[in-house]
Amino acid sequence: MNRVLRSAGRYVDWLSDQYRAEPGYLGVLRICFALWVLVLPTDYLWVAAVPDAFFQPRVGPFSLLTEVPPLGVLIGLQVLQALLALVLLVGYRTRTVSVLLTLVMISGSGIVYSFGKVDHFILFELLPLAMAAAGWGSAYSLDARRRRGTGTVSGFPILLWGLVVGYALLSAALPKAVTGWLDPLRHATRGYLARDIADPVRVGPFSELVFGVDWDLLWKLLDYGTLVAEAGVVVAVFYPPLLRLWLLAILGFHLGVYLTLGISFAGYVFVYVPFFAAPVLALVRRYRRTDPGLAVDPSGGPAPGVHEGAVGRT
Amino acid sequence: MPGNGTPESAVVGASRTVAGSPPAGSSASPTLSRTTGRRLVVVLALGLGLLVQGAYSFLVVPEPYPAIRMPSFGGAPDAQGLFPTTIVDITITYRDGTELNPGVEDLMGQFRHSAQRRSLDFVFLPENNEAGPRPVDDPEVRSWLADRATVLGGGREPESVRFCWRAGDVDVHTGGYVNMPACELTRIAL
Repeated sequence: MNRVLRSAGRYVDWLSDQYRAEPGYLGVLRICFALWVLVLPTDYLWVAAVPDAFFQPRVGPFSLLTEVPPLGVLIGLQVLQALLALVLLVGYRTRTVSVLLTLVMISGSGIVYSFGKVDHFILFELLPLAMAAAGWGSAYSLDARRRRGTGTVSGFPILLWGLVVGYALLSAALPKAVTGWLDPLRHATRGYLARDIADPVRVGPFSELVFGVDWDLLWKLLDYGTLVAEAGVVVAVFYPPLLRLWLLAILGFHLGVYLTLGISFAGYVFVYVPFFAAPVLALVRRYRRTDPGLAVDPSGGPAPGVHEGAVGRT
Repeated sequence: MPGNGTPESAVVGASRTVAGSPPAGSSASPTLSRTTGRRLVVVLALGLGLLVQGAYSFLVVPEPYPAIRMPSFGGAPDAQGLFPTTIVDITITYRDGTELNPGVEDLMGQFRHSAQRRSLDFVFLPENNEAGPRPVDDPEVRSWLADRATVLGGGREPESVRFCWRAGDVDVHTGGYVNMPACELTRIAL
């Protein structure tokens, strides 16, 4: 048993090392995420314009609400979302602000999802919480300037984030598997596209083109491919190079869903970006080797190589 | 926890491996470090937590929130390529005798797109108005509906709104509706 635990422990440590990102990489992620929230905020205010009779809060903490929250509360949430994103952008008290931003986004979503439909952006909303633990305030931030150097980053939270993302995608695959997607005679992807063609309220730019493909094998391969892609992430997490390839496939599926069904999961790019730190860093280092005059330190201090000792463990 | 400046080899404890390769073979320390032990506990606890919350999110209907899930797109057409669906037609009759047939996205345009159809069904479906208090009798709903009908009609005064639901199939080969039965009706005089 001890030997098993030691082996498991070594593997978890190795995975944490493999997933550890450079402070600058996480800092750029933080800035881009904050900008996204500022430029494309979730709209909470529309709920104030509709009657309370439409309000049907979900089982959970929001079931305590008996009516649509007052306009003042909704405005407060909207303003808080923007303010926290702005403070996150500059990287002040990053950990606290990240936690608060997650809470605000989940609160706002809990209200807007109380009108019949959950939109499953929970991973986007939880990302600040996970990345705060990983250390995305360590660079390109006021926190780093106050510290006079880059702070601590850790790969272990990114490993945990991988398990969360893998589980979430598995939760999409399992209902498919038990409701006909595995049946070789039933073409689920084609069915959803056909529904949109029949009632073209929101369709993708390639909906008609793709719908015109009358090839049963292709449609079935799309069904199976979707299942394998979604269910496989939770396994691929345990071998980082495989996970990165798998997530590229997932991104391809997200793109395909947008092009055919008009459903955008563009914000989910941020969910997957933390796992690509190593290959991006390798590319950057290769580029810097060919142009040494471009060495930049994210905190304004010594060159990045000096900070190896500052990369701590959680 | 090691502080800044601690040599990484001291932090890692067990021998480092070549980047990209999992650790192989037994290593120096016969016991787990506190950090590693804590990590194992957290991983197991997270896994268990995800499973428990996942079971809860699937057992509770409709889906609760918050819960960690992605959209399932569950369900598939049958082997003949027929995919069950329910469509709703909306007819607004104005006092000047004219009619308008707006789409759900027009009447419910103030709602978040994904919530439009579900919200319409929740308030106006006949089965949701069989027992009191009926949502369609809510003065706020009727006032809102009249306002929306007026806006969609370009200022015309609405007389009534009729909702017609039909549960049939979409043919995946043609993208057309088949097997559409008679309406389930809700008519609201304004």
